[in-house]
Amino acid sequence: MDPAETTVASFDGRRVRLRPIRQSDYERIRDEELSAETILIYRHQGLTPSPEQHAGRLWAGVSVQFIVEDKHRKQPVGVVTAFDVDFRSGHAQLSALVFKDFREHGWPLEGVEIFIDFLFMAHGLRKIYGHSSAANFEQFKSALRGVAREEGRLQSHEFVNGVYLDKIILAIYREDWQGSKLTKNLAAAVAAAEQSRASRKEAE
Amino acid sequence: VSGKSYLTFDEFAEVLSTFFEVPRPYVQPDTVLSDDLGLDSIYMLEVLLLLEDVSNHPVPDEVIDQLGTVADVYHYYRLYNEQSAEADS
Repeated sequence: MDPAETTVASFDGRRVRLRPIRQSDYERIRDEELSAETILIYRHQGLTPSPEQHAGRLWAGVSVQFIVEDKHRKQPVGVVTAFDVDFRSGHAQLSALVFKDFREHGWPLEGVEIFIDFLFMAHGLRKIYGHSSAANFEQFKSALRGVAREEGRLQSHEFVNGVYLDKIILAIYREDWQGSKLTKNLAAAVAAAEQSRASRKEAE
Repeated sequence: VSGKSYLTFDEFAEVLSTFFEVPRPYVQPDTVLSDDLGLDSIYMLEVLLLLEDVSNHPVPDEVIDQLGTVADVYHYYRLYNEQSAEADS
């Protein structure tokens, strides 16, 4: 193949970039993972590993993991992780944690989009799974619009804050992803409407 | 001002209605993005990327915090368009 035709992985988005995790990030990640909002639904499932144990668990079963960083302020805003990768069958599990101060802002999710691009491109995966607690699912339900498929629902599976909640298993297939990312480009829709408005005005 | 033709509120609301698959009558100035339109984190990212496209700059967190209603989004859409047009002229 002509080297010019090869695809180069990009870790850069408009607002965020992916970068490798540094040892200096560990304490921040541990604080976020063990915060009240996250401890029951994320990696440690209510347990509190020591700093030393945490460093080990951070990489247990993990194949690919990055910090999502605000490009402009060079500030970590989250972590994206691919674990339980099965190269023979071509699938992996994905998880993402947006740090507390940025959860309301939406834009750190761009890091998830870049990460999924990378997983499909670099590892030739066929399918990426994500799990969501029913409590969290509302925040991502629009992902079902063309890009993720609900493949399973474990009824009353997780005990969170005193109640049993369903766990939803989502899958993103390579072919669905190539035709439709998480974001559908509202900016382009507005630009098209502006263009059409300008043409109408000109015709008048 | 440059030749860019930005949208009236009604035209803007029409685009939002189609894009977010919400009936047009539900997209009013005081419509709350999260509660009334049900915009989740992914859709809020769309709104933000739109404003960044218009402004050519990262939208400050203070502005993101103020994006509660359709009127708020339209306000910044107009404002950033006007600022970009001024910068171009």
